[in-house]
Amino acid sequence: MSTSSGFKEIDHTADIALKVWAPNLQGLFLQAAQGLFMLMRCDLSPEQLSFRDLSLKEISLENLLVTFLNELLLFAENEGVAYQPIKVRLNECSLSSHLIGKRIINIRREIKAVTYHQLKIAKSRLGYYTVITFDV
Amino acid sequence: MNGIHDFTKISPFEWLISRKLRKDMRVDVRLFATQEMLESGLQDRSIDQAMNAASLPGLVGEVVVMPDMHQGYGFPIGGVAATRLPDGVISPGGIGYDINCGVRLLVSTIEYESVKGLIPILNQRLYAECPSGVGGKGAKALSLSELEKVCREGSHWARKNGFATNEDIEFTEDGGCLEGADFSKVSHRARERGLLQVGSLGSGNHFIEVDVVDQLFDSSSAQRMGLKEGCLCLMVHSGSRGLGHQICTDYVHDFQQTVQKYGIHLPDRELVCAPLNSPEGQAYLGAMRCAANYAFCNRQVLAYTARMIFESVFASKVPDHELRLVYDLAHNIGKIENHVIDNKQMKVCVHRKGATRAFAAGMNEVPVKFRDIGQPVLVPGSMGTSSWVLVGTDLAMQKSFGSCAHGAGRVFSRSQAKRKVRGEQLKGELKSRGIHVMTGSMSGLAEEAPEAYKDVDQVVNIVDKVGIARRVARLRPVAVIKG
Repeated sequence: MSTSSGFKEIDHTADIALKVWAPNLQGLFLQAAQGLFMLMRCDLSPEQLSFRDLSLKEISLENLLVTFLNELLLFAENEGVAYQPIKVRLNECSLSSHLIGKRIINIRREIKAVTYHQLKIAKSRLGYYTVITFDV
Repeated sequence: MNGIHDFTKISPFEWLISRKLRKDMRVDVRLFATQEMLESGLQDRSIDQAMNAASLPGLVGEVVVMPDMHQGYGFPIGGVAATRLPDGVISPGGIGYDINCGVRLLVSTIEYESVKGLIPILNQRLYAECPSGVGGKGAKALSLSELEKVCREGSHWARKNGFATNEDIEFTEDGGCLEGADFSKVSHRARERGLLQVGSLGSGNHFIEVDVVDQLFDSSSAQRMGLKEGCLCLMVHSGSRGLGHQICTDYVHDFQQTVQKYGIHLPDRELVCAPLNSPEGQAYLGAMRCAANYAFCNRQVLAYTARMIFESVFASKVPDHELRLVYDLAHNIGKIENHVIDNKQMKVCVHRKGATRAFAAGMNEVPVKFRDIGQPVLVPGSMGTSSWVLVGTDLAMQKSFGSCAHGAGRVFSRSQAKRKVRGEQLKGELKSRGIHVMTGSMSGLAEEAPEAYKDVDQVVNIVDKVGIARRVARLRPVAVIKG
């Protein structure tokens, strides 16, 4: 983890795993969303298309992260729009986020789903980190 | 699990992990593998995942792991587990996001040597006309009421709409339609994702492959299946597309709370489950069957398109251009089946995650045509390598809930594969070996390089040696469409 926040694809035999880290939880969610679109290898239209707000409530932070990413995945497949969060607000296990969308020209890697496999949001001296497994 | 000494060796290809090794394990784990494969499994967490799967409530017999095992999420890929009815559980993660991902094999009497020059054109046409890649551009668009019929009727919808013959239905697992599909348990989101994708291949490891029957190991069974040495055949590997992914996503999400309601404690949240006799378990079962039927129909429509292409490419060149279905089977599915466990006949829910059904001769579920030889089992290879046709055996019924391996099984991660192989280079190498490849993504092609997979011949040798399937024929690829 060379910088204070970021993400990195890590080896997983069949599917894809992404390590994500950030100094705070909001940052962790933002980085995870960016990482998702990196993994999907999306070609995006340069002009911004739309904004939308997203509110979610779950039973744990980990569940919130999975649901958040699955929502972004669904928007991408159903609407052809890559919605990236500009801002994320977290309150215990609730999230509200303002998203900015760009039209997807092409998705070169299909992500079927975000999984809960061994998912744990952990705290370190530098902030928070987690490893997310995606089914491809 | 500390190491190889924790396995009990039954034979060079069969091993056991005792339930006593970990407190939460309810049954033993039986593995069909070489020692080298087990050591590799210890590195990539697939053994841990099999032991985790052994903690599900209501398990009977053993958790069985095939030689193509590799790390998945929740269950390992290549895992089989059966839970008792009515109070055992059903786990969506033990079936997978791509519900009824499966394979079908069609055969022809077209001799490869006589049409060799037409293979590149055939491949271009298959790539152009069988929608592939992310999404479903070019697939059949359905109305909501038609989607509901597809989910309820599976391949029967395809037959009613001219995409399938009676023979196609007969030679598809469960006649291409699981009973008990409940469309009311499929979410609005899943329905939306299913509207535009029937007849599409998808991406990742999904493929259409033109093969040549390379060698026969059981001429009599091969003849029954219509497999003739030197003749072309076609293999389709796809599943339930976005509809299935969304159904699994929905229920894995909902079951996070269901396990709390029923007081179920699990070592991995991806294993979440519900008792089969609970409203939650029944709802998933009904929705999962919708996705399974959608997948049967999807592969059927893809096969229909391929048949049309075979006709237009070969009709004036060969006396018989027909593609006849050998068999279509699922390798990510949950099925209610009868099995003999501890000398007792039991009704169980068999979870097959990256494992195919391999029922023995004499079983009512096997089509009459194959009832004296066993159910055809399809084990596709990895683009540049052989694929195999086998038949199920009595030993499969005794040892693996009538199941067999489903493929070669990955050995390298996708990033490792890309570090070792470049897509363009791979395409050129395969072409020099007479294998024509069409793909929408060169990096995706590199991820699926043959080097990223185990040796499928070794996987097949193991299932043959332990007796859970018997070799019938080996196929070699001449054209591959990758999504």
